[in-house]
Amino acid sequence: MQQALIELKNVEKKYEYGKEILPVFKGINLRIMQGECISILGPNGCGKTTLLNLMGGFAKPTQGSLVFEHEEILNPDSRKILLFQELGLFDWKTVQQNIAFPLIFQGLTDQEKQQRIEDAIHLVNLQGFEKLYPSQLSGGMKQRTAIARAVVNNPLLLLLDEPFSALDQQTREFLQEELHEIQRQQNKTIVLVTHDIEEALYLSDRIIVLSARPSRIKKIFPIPFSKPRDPALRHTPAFSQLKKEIWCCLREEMKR
Amino acid sequence: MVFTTSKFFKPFLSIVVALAIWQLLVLLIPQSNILPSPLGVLNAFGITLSDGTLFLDIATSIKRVLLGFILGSFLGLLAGMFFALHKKLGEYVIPLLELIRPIPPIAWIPLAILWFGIGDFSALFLVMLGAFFPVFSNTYDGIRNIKNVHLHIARNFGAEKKHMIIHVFFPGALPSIFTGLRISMGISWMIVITAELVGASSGLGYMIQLHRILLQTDYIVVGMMVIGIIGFLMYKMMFFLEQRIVKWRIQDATSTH
Ligand SMILES: Nc1ncnc2c1ncn2[C@@H]1O[C@H](COP(=O)(O)OP(=O)(O)O)[C@@H](O)[C@H]1O
Ligand SMILES: [Mg+2]
Repeated sequence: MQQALIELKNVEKKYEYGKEILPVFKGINLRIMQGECISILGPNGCGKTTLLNLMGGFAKPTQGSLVFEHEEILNPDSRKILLFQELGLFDWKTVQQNIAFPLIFQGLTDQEKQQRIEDAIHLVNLQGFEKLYPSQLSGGMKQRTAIARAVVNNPLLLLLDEPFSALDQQTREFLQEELHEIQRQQNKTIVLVTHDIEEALYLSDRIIVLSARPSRIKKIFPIPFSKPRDPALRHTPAFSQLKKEIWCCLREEMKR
Repeated sequence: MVFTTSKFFKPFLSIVVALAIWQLLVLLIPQSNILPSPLGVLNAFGITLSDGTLFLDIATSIKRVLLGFILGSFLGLLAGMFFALHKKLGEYVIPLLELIRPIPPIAWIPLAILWFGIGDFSALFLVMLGAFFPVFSNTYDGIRNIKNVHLHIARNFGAEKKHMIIHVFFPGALPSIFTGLRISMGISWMIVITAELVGASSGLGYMIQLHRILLQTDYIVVGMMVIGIIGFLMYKMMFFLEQRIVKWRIQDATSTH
Protein backbone atom coordinates (compact mmCIF):
# COMPACT_ATOMS: atom_id res chain seq x y z
CA MET A 1 0.00 0.00 0.00
CA GLN A 2 1.13 3.51 -0.79
CA GLN A 3 2.57 5.54 2.09
CA ALA A 4 0.53 8.41 3.43
CA LEU A 5 2.34 11.77 3.58
CA ILE A 6 0.06 12.97 6.32
CA GLU A 7 -2.26 10.97 8.49
CA LEU A 8 -4.97 12.17 10.88
CA LYS A 9 -5.91 9.64 13.53
CA ASN A 10 -9.10 10.17 15.45
CA VAL A 11 -8.46 13.90 15.66
CA GLU A 12 -10.58 16.04 17.95
CA LYS A 13 -10.44 19.76 18.66
CA LYS A 14 -12.26 21.75 21.32
CA TYR A 15 -11.86 25.38 22.24
CA GLU A 16 -12.38 26.49 25.80
CA TYR A 17 -13.65 29.90 26.74
CA GLY A 18 -13.44 29.91 30.53
CA LYS A 19 -16.17 27.51 31.53
CA GLU A 20 -17.67 27.09 28.10
CA ILE A 21 -16.38 24.45 25.77
CA LEU A 22 -16.80 24.61 22.02
CA PRO A 23 -16.35 21.20 20.38
CA VAL A 24 -15.26 21.94 16.82
CA PHE A 25 -14.79 18.45 15.37
CA LYS A 26 -14.00 14.94 16.47
CA GLY A 27 -13.20 11.53 15.11
CA ILE A 28 -11.48 12.83 12.04
CA ASN A 29 -9.56 10.04 10.29
CA LEU A 30 -7.82 10.79 7.04
CA ARG A 31 -4.80 9.55 5.10
CA ILE A 32 -3.47 11.86 2.44
CA MET A 33 -1.10 10.35 -0.11
CA GLN A 34 1.96 11.92 -1.61
CA GLY A 35 0.93 13.85 -4.71
CA GLU A 36 -2.74 13.95 -3.83
CA CYS A 37 -4.93 17.04 -3.93
CA ILE A 38 -7.66 17.02 -1.31
CA SER A 39 -10.39 19.63 -0.95
CA ILE A 40 -12.31 20.27 2.22
CA LEU A 41 -15.82 21.64 1.98
CA GLY A 42 -18.14 22.37 4.86
CA PRO A 43 -20.50 24.93 6.35
CA ASN A 44 -19.17 28.13 7.91
CA GLY A 45 -17.55 27.66 11.29
CA CYS A 46 -17.31 23.88 10.99
CA GLY A 47 -13.58 24.03 11.64
CA LYS A 48 -11.93 23.98 8.22
CA THR A 49 -9.38 26.62 9.15
CA THR A 50 -8.80 24.90 12.47
CA LEU A 51 -8.09 21.65 10.67
CA LEU A 52 -5.50 23.33 8.44
CA ASN A 53 -3.90 24.92 11.50
CA LEU A 54 -3.54 21.50 13.06
CA MET A 55 -1.95 20.08 9.92
CA GLY A 56 0.39 23.06 9.71
CA GLY A 57 1.50 22.59 13.32
CA PHE A 58 0.05 25.92 14.44
CA ALA A 59 -2.31 24.27 16.94
CA LYS A 60 -2.56 20.95 18.72
CA PRO A 61 -5.49 18.54 18.74
CA THR A 62 -7.26 17.97 22.05
CA GLN A 63 -7.32 14.27 21.21
CA GLY A 64 -5.87 11.97 18.60
CA SER A 65 -2.76 12.68 16.58
CA LEU A 66 -1.51 13.96 13.28
CA VAL A 67 1.47 12.30 11.66
CA PHE A 68 3.51 13.86 8.90
CA GLU A 69 6.37 11.91 7.36
CA HIS A 70 6.26 9.37 10.21
CA GLU A 71 6.55 12.02 12.90
CA GLU A 72 3.91 13.58 15.06
CA ILE A 73 3.19 17.17 14.06
CA LEU A 74 4.26 19.45 16.91
CA ASN A 75 5.33 22.68 15.24
CA PRO A 76 5.23 24.48 11.92
CA ASP A 77 8.19 23.84 9.68
CA SER A 78 9.15 24.61 6.11
CA ARG A 79 8.22 21.19 4.70
CA LYS A 80 4.53 22.00 5.17
CA ILE A 81 3.45 25.51 4.26
CA LEU A 82 0.14 27.04 5.24
CA LEU A 83 -1.15 29.76 2.96
CA PHE A 84 -3.32 31.85 5.25
CA GLN A 85 -6.56 33.30 4.04
CA GLU A 86 -5.27 36.81 4.72
CA LEU A 87 -2.12 35.99 2.70
CA GLY A 88 0.22 37.92 4.96
CA LEU A 89 2.44 39.36 2.26
CA PHE A 90 5.10 41.54 3.82
CA ASP A 91 4.03 45.08 2.91
CA TRP A 92 7.63 46.28 3.19
CA LYS A 93 9.01 43.79 0.69
CA THR A 94 8.60 43.85 -3.08
CA VAL A 95 7.09 40.90 -4.93
CA GLN A 96 10.57 39.55 -5.55
CA GLN A 97 11.68 40.06 -1.94
CA ASN A 98 8.53 38.41 -0.64
CA ILE A 99 9.15 35.40 -2.83
CA ALA A 100 12.81 35.32 -1.79
CA PHE A 101 11.95 35.32 1.90
CA PRO A 102 11.70 31.52 2.46
CA LEU A 103 15.10 31.05 0.81
CA ILE A 104 16.92 33.18 3.36
CA PHE A 105 16.87 30.30 5.81
CA GLN A 106 18.17 27.70 3.38
CA GLY A 107 21.80 27.02 2.66
CA LEU A 108 21.62 27.88 -1.02
CA THR A 109 24.07 29.73 -3.21
CA ASP A 110 22.96 33.09 -4.57
CA GLN A 111 22.71 31.56 -8.00
CA GLU A 112 20.44 28.76 -6.82
CA LYS A 113 18.29 31.26 -4.98
CA GLN A 114 18.00 33.44 -8.07
CA GLN A 115 17.04 30.45 -10.17
CA ARG A 116 14.32 29.35 -7.77
CA ILE A 117 12.88 32.84 -7.52
CA GLU A 118 12.75 33.11 -11.29
CA ASP A 119 11.10 29.70 -11.58
CA ALA A 120 8.49 30.61 -8.99
CA ILE A 121 7.75 33.91 -10.71
CA HIS A 122 7.28 32.08 -14.03
CA LEU A 123 5.08 29.47 -12.44
CA VAL A 124 2.48 32.05 -11.45
CA ASN A 125 3.03 34.45 -14.37
CA LEU A 126 4.33 37.37 -12.33
CA GLN A 127 6.99 38.47 -14.79
CA GLY A 128 7.25 42.26 -14.86
CA PHE A 129 5.80 42.74 -11.39
CA GLU A 130 8.94 41.83 -9.43
CA LYS A 131 9.74 45.34 -8.24
CA LEU A 132 6.25 46.31 -7.08
CA TYR A 133 5.09 46.39 -3.48
CA PRO A 134 1.99 44.45 -2.38
CA SER A 135 0.01 47.68 -2.01
CA GLN A 136 0.47 48.24 -5.74
CA LEU A 137 -0.92 44.86 -6.76
CA SER A 138 -4.40 43.70 -7.68
CA GLY A 139 -6.00 40.91 -5.64
CA GLY A 140 -5.04 38.28 -8.20
CA MET A 141 -1.43 39.43 -8.29
CA LYS A 142 -1.24 39.39 -4.51
CA GLN A 143 -2.56 35.86 -4.51
CA ARG A 144 -0.01 34.83 -7.13
CA THR A 145 2.79 36.32 -5.06
CA ALA A 146 1.63 34.44 -1.98
CA ILE A 147 1.48 31.18 -3.94
CA ALA A 148 4.93 31.75 -5.42
CA ARG A 149 6.30 32.44 -1.94
CA ALA A 150 4.64 29.29 -0.62
CA VAL A 151 6.11 27.01 -3.27
CA VAL A 152 9.51 28.63 -3.91
CA ASN A 153 11.19 26.35 -1.42
CA ASN A 154 9.41 23.29 -2.75
CA PRO A 155 7.52 22.18 0.38
CA LEU A 156 6.14 18.63 0.54
CA LEU A 157 2.70 19.78 1.61
CA LEU A 158 0.76 22.89 0.71
CA LEU A 159 -2.20 23.89 2.87
CA LEU A 160 -4.47 26.49 1.27
CA ASP A 161 -7.23 28.31 3.15
CA GLU A 162 -9.87 29.63 0.75
CA PRO A 163 -7.16 31.02 -1.48
CA PHE A 164 -9.31 32.42 -4.28
CA SER A 165 -12.48 33.39 -2.47
CA ALA A 166 -11.85 37.13 -2.71
CA LEU A 167 -11.24 37.15 -6.46
CA ASP A 168 -13.51 37.71 -9.43
CA GLN A 169 -14.64 34.67 -11.42
CA GLN A 170 -12.18 35.08 -14.30
CA THR A 171 -9.11 35.64 -12.16
CA ARG A 172 -10.17 32.76 -9.98
CA GLU A 173 -10.33 30.38 -12.92
CA PHE A 174 -6.92 31.45 -14.20
CA LEU A 175 -5.41 30.91 -10.77
CA GLN A 176 -7.08 27.53 -10.43
CA GLU A 177 -5.48 26.51 -13.71
CA GLU A 178 -2.10 27.77 -12.55
CA LEU A 179 -2.44 25.87 -9.29
CA HIS A 180 -3.44 22.74 -11.17
CA GLU A 181 -0.32 23.11 -13.29
CA ILE A 182 1.90 23.54 -10.22
CA GLN A 183 0.35 20.52 -8.57
CA ARG A 184 0.94 18.37 -11.62
CA GLN A 185 4.43 19.58 -12.48
CA GLN A 186 5.78 19.24 -8.97
CA ASN A 187 3.52 16.34 -7.96
CA LYS A 188 2.68 18.39 -4.93
CA THR A 189 0.45 17.29 -2.09
CA ILE A 190 -2.24 19.90 -1.50
CA VAL A 191 -5.01 20.34 1.03
CA LEU A 192 -7.41 23.00 -0.17
CA VAL A 193 -10.17 24.54 1.92
CA THR A 194 -12.79 26.16 -0.25
CA HIS A 195 -16.44 27.16 -0.56
CA ASP A 196 -16.41 26.74 -4.31
CA ILE A 197 -17.56 23.26 -5.38
CA GLU A 198 -16.36 23.78 -8.96
CA GLU A 199 -12.94 24.75 -7.73
CA ALA A 200 -12.77 21.65 -5.56
CA LEU A 201 -13.91 19.45 -8.42
CA TYR A 202 -11.52 20.88 -10.95
CA LEU A 203 -8.47 20.57 -8.69
CA SER A 204 -8.98 17.59 -6.41
CA ASP A 205 -8.48 13.86 -6.34
CA ARG A 206 -10.82 13.59 -3.38
CA ILE A 207 -13.33 15.97 -1.84
CA ILE A 208 -14.09 15.80 1.88
CA VAL A 209 -17.42 17.17 3.05
CA LEU A 210 -17.61 18.07 6.71
CA SER A 211 -20.87 18.16 8.63
CA ALA A 212 -22.07 21.12 10.69
CA ARG A 213 -20.37 21.73 14.05
CA PRO A 214 -19.52 19.68 16.05
CA SER A 215 -18.34 18.26 12.79
CA ARG A 216 -17.23 14.93 11.43
CA ILE A 217 -16.31 13.80 7.98
CA LYS A 218 -19.69 13.39 6.36
CA LYS A 219 -18.65 12.02 3.04
CA ILE A 220 -15.59 11.57 0.87
CA PHE A 221 -16.05 11.91 -2.88
CA PRO A 222 -13.35 10.40 -5.09
CA ILE A 223 -12.99 12.50 -8.24
CA PRO A 224 -12.47 10.29 -11.27
CA PHE A 225 -11.31 12.85 -13.89
CA SER A 226 -7.83 12.13 -15.23
CA LYS A 227 -5.10 14.74 -15.10
CA PRO A 228 -4.08 17.07 -16.63
CA ARG A 229 -7.54 18.54 -16.63
CA ASP A 230 -8.86 20.76 -19.38
CA PRO A 231 -10.50 23.97 -18.09
CA ALA A 232 -13.49 23.06 -20.25
CA LEU A 233 -14.01 20.04 -18.00
CA ARG A 234 -16.23 22.36 -15.98
CA HIS A 235 -18.82 22.20 -18.73
CA THR A 236 -19.13 18.44 -19.12
CA PRO A 237 -22.18 16.47 -17.90
CA ALA A 238 -20.10 14.23 -15.63
CA PHE A 239 -18.73 17.32 -13.89
CA SER A 240 -22.19 18.82 -13.45
CA GLN A 241 -23.56 15.56 -12.11
CA LEU A 242 -20.85 15.34 -9.42
CA LYS A 243 -21.27 19.02 -8.65
CA LYS A 244 -24.94 18.45 -7.97
CA GLU A 245 -24.28 15.46 -5.71
CA ILE A 246 -21.78 17.40 -3.65
CA TRP A 247 -24.04 20.42 -3.55
CA CYS A 248 -26.89 18.31 -2.13
CA CYS A 249 -24.58 16.73 0.44
CA LEU A 250 -23.32 20.14 1.52
CA ARG A 251 -26.74 21.73 1.41
CA GLU A 252 -28.09 19.41 4.10
CA GLU A 253 -25.38 20.61 6.45
CA MET A 254 -25.83 24.30 5.66
CA LYS A 255 -29.45 24.12 6.70
CA ARG A 256 -28.77 22.56 10.07
CA MET B 1 3.84 83.73 -16.87
CA VAL B 2 5.91 80.78 -15.68
CA PHE B 3 6.33 82.53 -12.37
CA THR B 4 2.64 83.12 -11.76
CA THR B 5 1.82 79.47 -12.38
CA SER B 6 4.63 78.11 -10.21
CA LYS B 7 3.75 76.78 -6.78
CA PHE B 8 6.02 79.40 -5.20
CA PHE B 9 3.89 82.30 -6.29
CA LYS B 10 1.20 82.14 -3.62
CA PRO B 11 3.55 81.78 -0.63
CA PHE B 12 5.73 84.54 -2.12
CA LEU B 13 2.74 86.86 -2.39
CA SER B 14 1.65 86.26 1.19
CA ILE B 15 5.19 86.92 2.45
CA VAL B 16 5.27 90.24 0.62
CA VAL B 17 1.90 91.21 2.11
CA ALA B 18 3.02 90.17 5.61
CA LEU B 19 6.16 92.31 5.25
CA ALA B 20 4.06 95.26 4.17
CA ILE B 21 1.74 94.92 7.17
CA TRP B 22 4.74 94.58 9.44
CA GLN B 23 6.28 97.79 8.05
CA LEU B 24 2.92 99.55 8.46
CA LEU B 25 2.71 98.50 12.12
CA VAL B 26 6.23 99.79 12.71
CA LEU B 27 5.19 103.18 11.32
CA LEU B 28 2.06 103.25 13.53
CA ILE B 29 3.81 102.30 16.75
CA PRO B 30 5.88 105.20 18.06
CA GLN B 31 8.27 103.29 20.35
CA SER B 32 10.73 102.09 17.76
CA ASN B 33 12.59 99.56 19.89
CA ILE B 34 9.58 97.37 20.72
CA LEU B 35 8.96 96.27 17.18
CA PRO B 36 11.95 96.35 14.82
CA SER B 37 11.36 97.27 11.19
CA PRO B 38 11.96 94.76 8.38
CA LEU B 39 14.90 96.82 7.21
CA GLY B 40 16.33 96.94 10.74
CA VAL B 41 16.12 93.18 10.91
CA LEU B 42 17.77 92.85 7.53
CA ASN B 43 20.52 95.12 8.73
CA ALA B 44 21.03 93.12 11.94
CA PHE B 45 21.04 89.95 9.85
CA GLY B 46 23.80 91.37 7.66
CA ILE B 47 25.90 92.30 10.66
CA THR B 48 25.62 88.97 12.47
CA LEU B 49 26.25 87.21 9.19
CA SER B 50 29.38 89.14 8.33
CA ASP B 51 30.96 89.04 11.77
CA GLY B 52 30.43 85.26 11.87
CA THR B 53 28.58 85.18 15.20
CA LEU B 54 25.35 83.93 13.60
CA PHE B 55 27.07 80.94 12.03
CA LEU B 56 28.71 80.14 15.30
CA ASP B 57 25.38 80.15 17.13
CA ILE B 58 23.71 78.12 14.38
CA ALA B 59 26.51 75.56 14.42
CA THR B 60 26.38 75.28 18.20
CA SER B 61 22.62 74.74 18.32
CA ILE B 62 22.62 72.28 15.44
CA LYS B 63 25.46 70.31 16.95
CA ARG B 64 23.56 70.03 20.23
CA VAL B 65 20.24 69.14 18.66
CA LEU B 66 21.65 66.58 16.26
CA LEU B 67 23.77 64.83 18.84
CA GLY B 68 20.96 64.80 21.40
CA PHE B 69 18.38 63.75 18.84
CA ILE B 70 20.52 60.95 17.43
CA LEU B 71 21.54 59.59 20.82
CA GLY B 72 18.11 60.00 22.41
CA SER B 73 16.16 58.48 19.56
CA PHE B 74 18.68 55.67 19.13
CA LEU B 75 18.27 54.76 22.78
CA GLY B 76 14.50 55.04 22.36
CA LEU B 77 14.65 52.72 19.37
CA LEU B 78 16.74 50.13 21.19
CA ALA B 79 14.66 50.27 24.35
CA GLY B 80 11.39 50.16 22.39
CA MET B 81 12.53 47.11 20.45
CA PHE B 82 13.96 45.40 23.48
CA PHE B 83 10.88 45.75 25.65
CA ALA B 84 8.49 44.94 22.81
CA LEU B 85 10.40 41.70 22.24
CA HIS B 86 10.76 40.93 25.95
CA LYS B 87 7.28 41.67 27.14
CA LYS B 88 7.79 40.25 30.63
CA LEU B 89 10.66 42.63 31.38
CA GLY B 90 8.66 45.44 29.84
CA GLU B 91 5.96 44.92 32.42
CA TYR B 92 8.43 46.04 35.08
CA VAL B 93 10.06 48.91 33.26
CA ILE B 94 7.34 50.48 31.13
CA PRO B 95 5.12 51.66 34.02
CA LEU B 96 8.19 53.41 35.44
CA LEU B 97 8.88 55.13 32.13
CA GLU B 98 5.24 56.12 31.89
CA LEU B 99 5.62 57.89 35.23
CA ILE B 100 8.65 59.86 34.06
CA ARG B 101 7.25 60.64 30.65
CA PRO B 102 4.62 63.24 31.68
CA ILE B 103 7.32 65.43 33.23
CA PRO B 104 8.06 67.95 30.46
CA PRO B 105 11.76 67.79 29.59
CA ILE B 106 12.08 71.51 30.32
CA ALA B 107 11.08 70.79 33.93
CA TRP B 108 14.38 68.93 34.13
CA ILE B 109 16.33 72.12 33.38
CA PRO B 110 17.12 73.01 37.00
CA LEU B 111 18.42 69.53 37.76
CA ALA B 112 20.26 69.36 34.46
CA ILE B 113 22.09 72.59 35.25
CA LEU B 114 23.00 71.33 38.71
CA TRP B 115 24.22 68.02 37.36
CA PHE B 116 25.91 69.07 34.14
CA GLY B 117 26.48 72.80 34.54
CA ILE B 118 25.81 75.50 31.97
CA GLY B 119 26.53 74.45 28.40
CA ASP B 120 26.68 71.49 26.05
CA PHE B 121 26.08 68.67 28.46
CA SER B 122 22.93 70.12 29.99
CA ALA B 123 21.45 70.79 26.57
CA LEU B 124 22.48 67.35 25.35
CA PHE B 125 20.88 65.67 28.34
CA LEU B 126 17.62 67.56 27.92
CA VAL B 127 17.40 66.94 24.19
CA MET B 128 18.11 63.24 24.68
CA LEU B 129 15.38 63.07 27.26
CA GLY B 130 12.91 64.76 24.93
CA ALA B 131 13.90 62.69 21.90
CA PHE B 132 13.79 59.39 23.74
CA PHE B 133 10.11 59.00 24.58
CA PRO B 134 8.33 59.50 21.24
CA VAL B 135 10.70 57.10 19.49
CA PHE B 136 10.50 54.66 22.36
CA SER B 137 6.72 54.39 22.45
CA ASN B 138 6.24 54.44 18.70
CA THR B 139 8.83 51.70 18.23
CA TYR B 140 7.20 49.69 20.99
CA ASP B 141 3.71 50.08 19.51
CA GLY B 142 4.96 49.46 15.99
CA ILE B 143 6.42 46.12 16.98
CA ARG B 144 3.50 45.07 19.14
CA ASN B 145 1.09 45.88 16.31
CA ILE B 146 2.77 43.62 13.79
CA LYS B 147 0.14 41.24 12.47
CA ASN B 148 0.13 37.74 13.85
CA VAL B 149 -0.12 36.32 10.37
CA HIS B 150 3.28 37.82 9.55
CA LEU B 151 4.81 36.14 12.58
CA HIS B 152 3.14 32.83 11.75
CA ILE B 153 4.43 32.96 8.21
CA ALA B 154 7.97 33.79 9.23
CA ARG B 155 7.86 30.91 11.70
CA ASN B 156 6.45 28.56 9.06
CA PHE B 157 9.37 29.28 6.73
CA GLY B 158 11.83 28.62 9.53
CA ALA B 159 12.87 32.14 10.56
CA GLU B 160 14.81 32.42 13.80
CA LYS B 161 14.66 35.37 16.16
CA LYS B 162 17.45 37.32 14.47
CA HIS B 163 15.81 36.91 11.05
CA MET B 164 12.48 37.91 12.56
CA ILE B 165 14.04 41.14 13.81
CA ILE B 166 15.70 42.00 10.51
CA HIS B 167 12.92 40.94 8.16
CA VAL B 168 9.72 41.35 10.13
CA PHE B 169 9.87 43.31 13.38
CA PHE B 170 12.10 46.18 12.32
CA PRO B 171 10.74 46.88 8.83
CA GLY B 172 7.19 46.23 10.00
CA ALA B 173 7.61 48.84 12.72
CA LEU B 174 9.43 51.36 10.51
CA PRO B 175 6.43 53.53 9.57
CA SER B 176 5.61 53.87 13.24
CA ILE B 177 9.27 54.47 14.14
CA PHE B 178 9.35 57.35 11.65
CA THR B 179 6.28 58.89 13.23
CA GLY B 180 8.24 58.83 16.49
CA LEU B 181 11.32 60.31 14.85
CA ARG B 182 9.34 63.16 13.35
CA ILE B 183 7.80 64.04 16.71
CA SER B 184 11.19 63.71 18.43
CA MET B 185 12.85 65.99 15.92
CA GLY B 186 10.33 68.76 16.58
CA ILE B 187 10.57 68.35 20.34
CA SER B 188 14.38 68.26 20.22
CA TRP B 189 14.59 71.58 18.42
CA MET B 190 12.17 73.19 20.84
CA ILE B 191 14.10 71.86 23.82
CA VAL B 192 17.53 72.88 22.62
CA ILE B 193 16.37 76.48 22.15
CA THR B 194 14.66 76.48 25.54
CA ALA B 195 17.71 74.98 27.24
CA GLU B 196 19.93 77.61 25.66
CA LEU B 197 17.65 80.39 26.89
CA VAL B 198 18.51 79.58 30.47
CA GLY B 199 21.25 76.99 30.64
CA ALA B 200 23.90 77.91 28.09
CA SER B 201 26.21 80.68 27.02
CA SER B 202 26.11 79.99 23.30
CA GLY B 203 23.66 78.94 20.62
CA LEU B 204 20.58 80.55 19.06
CA GLY B 205 18.53 80.38 22.26
CA TYR B 206 21.28 82.16 24.15
CA MET B 207 21.61 84.69 21.36
CA ILE B 208 17.97 85.85 21.50
CA GLN B 209 18.07 85.92 25.28
CA LEU B 210 21.25 88.05 25.25
CA HIS B 211 19.69 90.59 22.89
CA ARG B 212 16.63 90.85 25.11
CA ILE B 213 18.92 92.07 27.85
CA LEU B 214 20.54 94.47 25.37
CA LEU B 215 17.05 95.55 24.18
CA GLN B 216 18.03 94.81 20.57
CA THR B 217 14.74 93.57 19.18
CA ASP B 218 16.03 93.48 15.60
CA TYR B 219 18.62 90.88 16.60
CA ILE B 220 15.96 88.91 18.51
CA VAL B 221 13.83 88.73 15.39
CA VAL B 222 16.85 87.60 13.32
CA GLY B 223 17.38 84.78 15.83
CA MET B 224 13.71 83.83 15.82
CA MET B 225 13.57 83.69 12.05
CA VAL B 226 16.70 81.56 11.84
CA ILE B 227 15.26 79.21 14.47
CA GLY B 228 12.08 78.89 12.42
CA ILE B 229 13.88 78.27 9.17
CA ILE B 230 16.16 75.62 10.66
CA GLY B 231 13.19 73.88 12.27
CA PHE B 232 11.45 73.86 8.91
CA LEU B 233 14.51 72.47 7.12
CA MET B 234 14.96 69.73 9.71
CA TYR B 235 11.35 68.69 9.23
CA LYS B 236 11.83 68.61 5.46
CA MET B 237 14.96 66.52 5.81
CA MET B 238 13.17 64.02 7.99
CA PHE B 239 10.36 63.83 5.47
CA PHE B 240 12.85 63.27 2.66
CA LEU B 241 14.55 60.51 4.61
CA GLU B 242 11.22 58.86 5.36
CA GLN B 243 10.23 58.91 1.71
CA ARG B 244 13.51 57.28 0.79
CA ILE B 245 13.32 54.57 3.42
CA VAL B 246 9.63 53.77 3.88
CA LYS B 247 9.13 53.41 0.14
CA TRP B 248 6.18 51.05 0.31
CA ARG B 249 4.11 53.59 2.23
CA ILE B 250 4.77 56.52 -0.05
CA GLN B 251 4.00 54.46 -3.13
CA ASP B 252 0.86 53.38 -1.36
CA ALA B 253 -0.34 56.95 -1.25
CA THR B 254 0.43 57.65 -4.91
CA SER B 255 -0.68 54.35 -6.43
CA THR B 256 -3.28 54.71 -9.12
CA HIS B 257 -6.08 52.35 -8.28
N1 LIG C 1 -8.24 30.35 18.24
C1 LIG C 1 -9.53 30.12 18.52
N2 LIG C 1 -9.99 30.19 19.79
C2 LIG C 1 -11.28 29.95 20.06
N3 LIG C 1 -12.20 29.59 19.16
C3 LIG C 1 -11.83 29.50 17.89
C4 LIG C 1 -10.47 29.75 17.49
N4 LIG C 1 -10.37 29.57 16.15
C5 LIG C 1 -11.61 29.23 15.73
N5 LIG C 1 -12.48 29.18 16.76
C6 LIG C 1 -13.90 28.79 16.66
O1 LIG C 1 -13.94 27.48 16.14
C7 LIG C 1 -14.98 27.36 15.19
C8 LIG C 1 -14.40 26.90 13.86
O2 LIG C 1 -13.66 27.96 13.30
P1 LIG C 1 -12.89 27.84 11.92
O3 LIG C 1 -11.93 26.73 11.97
O4 LIG C 1 -12.34 29.18 11.61
O5 LIG C 1 -14.08 27.49 10.94
P2 LIG C 1 -14.18 27.60 9.34
O6 LIG C 1 -12.82 27.91 8.81
O7 LIG C 1 -14.68 26.26 8.91
O8 LIG C 1 -15.17 28.66 9.03
C9 LIG C 1 -15.66 28.70 15.12
O9 LIG C 1 -16.82 28.66 15.89
C10 LIG C 1 -14.65 29.67 15.70
O10 LIG C 1 -15.31 30.71 16.36
MG1 LIG D 1 -12.04 29.53 7.71
